[in-house]
Amino acid sequence: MLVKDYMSRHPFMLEEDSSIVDAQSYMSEVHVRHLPVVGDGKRLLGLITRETLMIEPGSLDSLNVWEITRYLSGMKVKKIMVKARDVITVDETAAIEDAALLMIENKIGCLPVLNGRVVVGMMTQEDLLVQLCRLLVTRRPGLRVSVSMPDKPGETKKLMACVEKQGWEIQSMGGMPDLRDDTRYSTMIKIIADVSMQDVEETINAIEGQEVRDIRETV
Amino acid sequence: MAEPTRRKSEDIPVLDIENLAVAYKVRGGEVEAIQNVTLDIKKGESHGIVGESGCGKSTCAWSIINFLGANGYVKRGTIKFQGKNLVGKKGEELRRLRGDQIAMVYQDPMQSLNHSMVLGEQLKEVLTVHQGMSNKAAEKDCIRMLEKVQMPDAANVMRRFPHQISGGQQQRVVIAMALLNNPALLLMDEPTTALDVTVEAAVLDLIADLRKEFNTAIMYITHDLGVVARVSTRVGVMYAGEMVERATVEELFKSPQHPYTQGLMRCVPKLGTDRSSSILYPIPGRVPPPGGRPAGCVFWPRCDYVRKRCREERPKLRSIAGTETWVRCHFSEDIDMGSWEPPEDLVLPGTVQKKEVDETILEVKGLKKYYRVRGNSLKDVFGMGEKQYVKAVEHASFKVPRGKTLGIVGESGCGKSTLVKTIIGLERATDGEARFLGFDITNSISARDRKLIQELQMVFQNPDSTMNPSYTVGQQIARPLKRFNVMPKEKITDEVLRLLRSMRLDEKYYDRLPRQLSGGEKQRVGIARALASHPDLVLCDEPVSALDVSVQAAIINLLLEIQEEFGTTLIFISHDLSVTRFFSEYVCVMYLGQIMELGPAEEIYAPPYHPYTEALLSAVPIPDPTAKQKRVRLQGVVPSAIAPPSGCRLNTRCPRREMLPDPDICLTDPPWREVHPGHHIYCHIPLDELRKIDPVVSIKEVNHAG
Repeated sequence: MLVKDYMSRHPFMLEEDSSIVDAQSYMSEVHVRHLPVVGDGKRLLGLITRETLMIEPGSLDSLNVWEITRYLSGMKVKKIMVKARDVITVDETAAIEDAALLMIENKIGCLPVLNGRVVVGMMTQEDLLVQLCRLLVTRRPGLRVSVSMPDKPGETKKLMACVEKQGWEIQSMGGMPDLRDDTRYSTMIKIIADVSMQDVEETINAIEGQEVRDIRETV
Repeated sequence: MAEPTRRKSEDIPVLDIENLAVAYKVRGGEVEAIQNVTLDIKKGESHGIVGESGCGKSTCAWSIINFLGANGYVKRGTIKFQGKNLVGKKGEELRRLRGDQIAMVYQDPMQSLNHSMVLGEQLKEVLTVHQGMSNKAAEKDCIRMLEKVQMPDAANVMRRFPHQISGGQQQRVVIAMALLNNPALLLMDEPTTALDVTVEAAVLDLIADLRKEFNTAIMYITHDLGVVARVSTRVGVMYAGEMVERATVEELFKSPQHPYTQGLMRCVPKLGTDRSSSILYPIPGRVPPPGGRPAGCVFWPRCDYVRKRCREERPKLRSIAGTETWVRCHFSEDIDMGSWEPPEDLVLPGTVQKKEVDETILEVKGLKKYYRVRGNSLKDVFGMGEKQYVKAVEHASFKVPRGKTLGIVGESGCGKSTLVKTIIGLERATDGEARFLGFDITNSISARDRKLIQELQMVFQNPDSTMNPSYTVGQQIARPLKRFNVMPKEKITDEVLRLLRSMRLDEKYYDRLPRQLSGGEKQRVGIARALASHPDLVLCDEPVSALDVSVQAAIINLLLEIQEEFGTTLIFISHDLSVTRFFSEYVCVMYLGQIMELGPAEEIYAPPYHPYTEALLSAVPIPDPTAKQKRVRLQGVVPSAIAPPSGCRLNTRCPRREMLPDPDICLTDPPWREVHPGHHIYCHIPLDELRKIDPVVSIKEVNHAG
């Protein structure tokens, strides 16, 4: 699961000589919040976001409406964009979790995806959420089971052995450390099985040290 | 739960054309080449555009990159690329867009490549100039891209010149070049039209794979309904500069709404349907020129359903309730394609059963045609080197009964044309026998009796280059009549007029010059000229390949009709297997100068196949997206005819070679296996094994002819 497989390809882009008025209307027209600014050969020159387009009133010479209009209409993207050297980017061969980390650490909403210096795509928070959904969402109805287990090696294996023995099909699964109890680990599995919720719960609870925390049907 | 992928920004089409009109300024005003074209292409979608020539398909593509020439301009409408309007963009911005985000692939790869530069330099230029990449990095990227387009030996190809690789490979290089910058939109203008079916099939597979991999939006322009069915997700049909129908590819082929689309479907032969049910119905008339379009609906002069409203009011492109189909017709809901009846004045050939005659008109036995080639070494210059020959035709043997048609199919360079040229006498046979009506015809044409020449005539592929531009149509047709003394001088004019009439051309064509005729009309004159001397055998070298489908149908019907009337025997060369199937009683499949399979048409198109026939059939684009077609592709390129592989010439590329317990046997000459009397397969694989192979094509029977 690499960035290049899950980014938005062929992103909307701006030229550095476009006016910011155009940039603003383009942004709302195509429903995006971030636009990479590119030069020849789609090389990254900068980034325009909603925030960069918020011009500080203090930076204006005068608050006369006519003055403001004149000032804004003459302003080019290159003047207000975040310059390429300050833009945090990700290489197309990075793993998606690394991209997510970059966004969290830097508190940013998007990452231009580069191959060398060329923009090949964009990765936004929304893209990552879409991938999270894809990771956990199932395509067919089944049961969603949250299991709490001791955080030590071999526990997942036990659960898998149990599932396999019953002949249930796993559609997706994910796990993370239990945030309230650092000795335990939470695993979520989505299974397709022709059994009742109660049977599933009993079968899993029978595994030593494991416990079903939540079980529900998904459609 | 639904896929959580629909987002607003994803819904913005890569290309969004609305109400586009393009006009060219000409002497005395301007003509609108296209009008009211609306279409949109989303990411990763392949949008086909079909129509006859002169319908404005290419103009539509050119307008996107403002490639309209000095006198063309966008008159109305918008072209939005990724939400930005392109109309009126100029200079630097447009140049950058063309280089970085929009790429175009043209019909002829030879014209898109620079002949004086090695391919590597041309490819690298894209990256070093646009992206400022270092030479080394660019080289690496280019090789990787060439591998993506399945170019064999990519690193070596970088060092070759364009003329050193085959046409299919050239087109691959052009496609690789277009993809190097990872464009969001790829415009392809008939990219496979100039290629062989087998190569075309491989290129079309490639385009489909690349579309998925790069998520590129593709606009695919073609005149071939079969190709559209294979590559597109949605299709727009253009007629006389207007988009007359837009639909998903499945809908379009299942229930075409516009009478023009229906007409197009009726005039393409379909592989798989049996011969008797696949009668072709040409669309009467021709596409009006941009300056002479009728008022009201542009299609009404050729429409079978025309009513008063059609003549007065121009229909709007409207959506059909409950479907994704858009159509520009007032009455499309009332038109039922199933109940369509051919107009009464249309004469349909092939309905009368031909009389069985056993007389053999042409017999060819072991015919060979070698061309001497000179090598490059010093020895060769002094004539002391080893003699080298291009073995264009090797051991060709077949018989043609009187009044029947023999179709010859094969890839380009397989010797089809050479064989025919040898028969007609334009080339002298190297060895072997050829008897026409009992006379030997292996000698040079100048040694032939005039009577013999009269009985053997030819229709050429390109009517333009076979007609003297300064002679009128009447003079051209009268010439063979005079030369062969077919009839007294005073009757010649009447005979020419009679011939013209039988070609459905009226008297006023008598005094016209070739340049005043359309392509289809020129070909009719070409046929009339070939028939003027009442020949017994007419050799047709790709007579319909250069023509539009509707004209093609008319010419084929005409030839069949003439055959019925005069009992003429025809040899019909074509690279189009669907046309050949429809046209011929006997088919001969050639590969690299060798005949691979020979037999009655019905048997050639059904198992047991020769492996080469199988590969050819699986490459034919079928105008039906639901048709199931096996994917058998020939690997590699056609070997050189100077040093052809020994034994079976297909052995280097044969997809079925592993069926033999000992594949090395293919290096020896295969036996002629007789399936039925008259049906022979030239292959080592036993017939029982070949019979086990499933049919290549299976089509759900939908009869558009009603």
